Amino acid sequence: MSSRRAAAVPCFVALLATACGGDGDGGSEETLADADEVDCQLEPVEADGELTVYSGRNEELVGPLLEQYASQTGVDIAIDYGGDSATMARQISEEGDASPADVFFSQAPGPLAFLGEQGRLDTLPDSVLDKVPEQYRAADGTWVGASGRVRVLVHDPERTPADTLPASVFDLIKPEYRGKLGIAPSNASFQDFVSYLRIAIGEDETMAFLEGLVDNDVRTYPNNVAIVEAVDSGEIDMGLANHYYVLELLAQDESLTTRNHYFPAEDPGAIILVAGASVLDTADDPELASQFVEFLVSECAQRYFVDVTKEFSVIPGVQPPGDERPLEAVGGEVADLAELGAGFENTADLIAESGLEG
Amino acid sequence: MVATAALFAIPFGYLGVRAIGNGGAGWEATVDDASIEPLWRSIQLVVLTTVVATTVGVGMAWLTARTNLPGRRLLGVLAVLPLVIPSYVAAYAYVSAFARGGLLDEALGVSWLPAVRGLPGAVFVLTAVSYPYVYLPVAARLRTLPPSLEESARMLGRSSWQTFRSVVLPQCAAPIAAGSLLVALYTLSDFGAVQYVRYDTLTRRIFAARLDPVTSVAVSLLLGVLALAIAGGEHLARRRFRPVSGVGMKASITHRLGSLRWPAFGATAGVIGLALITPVGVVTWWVIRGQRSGVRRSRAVDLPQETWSTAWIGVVSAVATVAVVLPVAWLVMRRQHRVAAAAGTLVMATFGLPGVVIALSLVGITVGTSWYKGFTVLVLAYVLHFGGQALGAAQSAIGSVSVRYDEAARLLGANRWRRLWRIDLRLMAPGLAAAGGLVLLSVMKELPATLMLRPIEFNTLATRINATVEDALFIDAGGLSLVLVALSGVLTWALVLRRH
Repeated sequence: MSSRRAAAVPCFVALLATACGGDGDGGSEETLADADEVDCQLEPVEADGELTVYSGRNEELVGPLLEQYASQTGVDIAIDYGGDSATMARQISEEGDASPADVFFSQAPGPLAFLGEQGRLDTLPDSVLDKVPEQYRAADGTWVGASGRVRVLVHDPERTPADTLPASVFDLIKPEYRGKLGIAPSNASFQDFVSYLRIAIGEDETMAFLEGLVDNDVRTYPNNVAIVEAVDSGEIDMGLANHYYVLELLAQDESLTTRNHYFPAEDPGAIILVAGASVLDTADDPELASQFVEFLVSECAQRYFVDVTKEFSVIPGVQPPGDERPLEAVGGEVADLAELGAGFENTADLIAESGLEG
Repeated sequence: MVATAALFAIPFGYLGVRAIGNGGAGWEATVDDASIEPLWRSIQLVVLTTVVATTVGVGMAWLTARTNLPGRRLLGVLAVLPLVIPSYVAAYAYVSAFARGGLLDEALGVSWLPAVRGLPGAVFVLTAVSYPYVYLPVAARLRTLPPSLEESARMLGRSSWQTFRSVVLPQCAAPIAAGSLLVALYTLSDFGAVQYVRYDTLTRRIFAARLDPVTSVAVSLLLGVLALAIAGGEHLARRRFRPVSGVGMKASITHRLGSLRWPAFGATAGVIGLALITPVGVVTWWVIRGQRSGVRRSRAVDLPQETWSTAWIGVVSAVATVAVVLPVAWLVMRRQHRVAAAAGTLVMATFGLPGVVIALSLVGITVGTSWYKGFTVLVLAYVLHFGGQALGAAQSAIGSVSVRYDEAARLLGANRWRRLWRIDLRLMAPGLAAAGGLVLLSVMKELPATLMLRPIEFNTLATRINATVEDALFIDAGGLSLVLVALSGVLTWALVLRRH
């Protein structure tokens, strides 16, 4: 499961999501049970009106948490799940001053930054901003991260101990890793990684790296779960994925021997992709809207992301999912893909041009 | 009629106003290579898909309606059904089934299949889902066409093929033109298929630039102009052939295919196998595979509720759409009304716009009113989006009813409304039902406008397919897709096919 959190942008049309990010099987009944175990015990909130939340994050994913907020605080909350985050941001932009939206909950920073540039986001109060370390929120205080996903190299520590692994993601094109690596080129999370490379090292270098992967006999898989399973069965030694796939599969099957390896924090192989939330300038009751955003970065909601969606918490003190190290210890740079603007979408074509087929 | 025209002018007007507001930057974005190249690709895709889909559609219609093709009744019904498969589902299904290691490789060991990619891939997918736009009106025409001309041709010693070419094709010119126009505009507006097969057309560019409003408005306007050109061009061409009057009777002529009977069956079954069975098979396979591995299930899906919502919004929108475009169709066909013809061109061109462009224009003008994110605006979006489908079919319906009945009734003293009610609407009923049926199917699978304009917490099967696939809940996505296809099939049968 997971294009849902994997996706910064790509897929707003149903099955396309599978193309760009969908993964085959995954998740478990247990995971679902966890959803009900997180009980935030919120105090009732006095509010006159309704709170309208535009969510670019999937109902399957964040629905239970938002419903819990509504039922425990008594706030009348309307949640609009409108497809992909970038399209929602554009809709809010077109709505202008008359927008019914109070809060925008985005899968990635790009759509938030777009609205920020248009002056559509309120500055959040310090009580919210102070909860989240600087690197996981907007410099101007217009949005805060709500959860994080990290790019990793999955491997079997018995078969390929950490000291035999490449020091940098760029080493994967070296001869010693020929035919040993698996990737999912059509997956949104891989595309986010490549988009980040385009910003960090430029188009030409990115292309050279992708072609290097092709020349090094990289194996391609339809999704990240297939990569983890291929590593587990010994078909390949390592694969590039987001961190939560191993955690999801471990939750289903304890005998899984595959684990996450984090590249050094300064390496582009270890970027962090965050989801974030903001209060819109059209919020009827900015205080209520801020309270809701504050709830998303509260310890309880953060525990929900860790336990249920197996993402990293963005606030200090909340244990990471599984046996992972905390985000600040594993994570590299927070990827702000907004810089690519509309060119962002061309990443899939760049990947195809390099000869990678998935 | 004027009201109809005003409604359909909304998206174009909105784009125009936005483009003017963008000024020089908008112009630069319009003439940029990044806009012109997708324009060229869209034109290629539209031309090729229209030619291939029209050929397939006419061939299927003639074989199932007029020949002794084995199993022609069943094939005739099945041939309509690819229309119910959303292009995004079909595209995904083909790409994954044809890929190395995909379903066909795994199940049948065929690993030599070409990847469904680029221009050929897009033409293939879009032909599969859109040839019924030609098939339906042509088959309907063939069923009501007087057999006398064909009988004469046969008696004069013409072969089946010669008769088809010299008699059937000319009589079907109007429905063929109407159907291929729908294919062309559908292809132009499609995003689901081109996104998945990675063919960079205008719609894909609009989507890619959604956080760059200047560019996306510019590209949308280019697309709008192309849609107007296609619809206008067809309008000019259409004036050359006068509609042939039918008599509304069942035509029973059957051409003997002889030794070609089974090859023809093979071709027809092959089209249905590719366009219908393959995508449905892939989706079924998801469900079965998902059941075996016991993966997580969706918690949000409420199947009976979503099935009901999909059905009623589809039926209401279909009726509304036919009602809105009928006056235009009537004035065009019966009065050769110039202004109505221009309005009709506008209605057709709007069908060429992608759903997201229509939805954004309605966001722009209804936000802040109490209608925004209400059912009225949602239904209006569907009316605008799919009015062209209904218009073409309604014009065919009106054209197939002879004015002689009307004249005879007038001589007998029946007033205008009585004639309309007792004669014209009765005789047009199957054609109008077909018009509504096309809209119904499109509404049920529509996604981008639905996501943007639906009332909060209103879910259709399509929106749930979107959410569950995004979350990789494949059993649910597959199951919902099958329910959508089945529901569409049942409604098409109940409302359209049964009447033929």
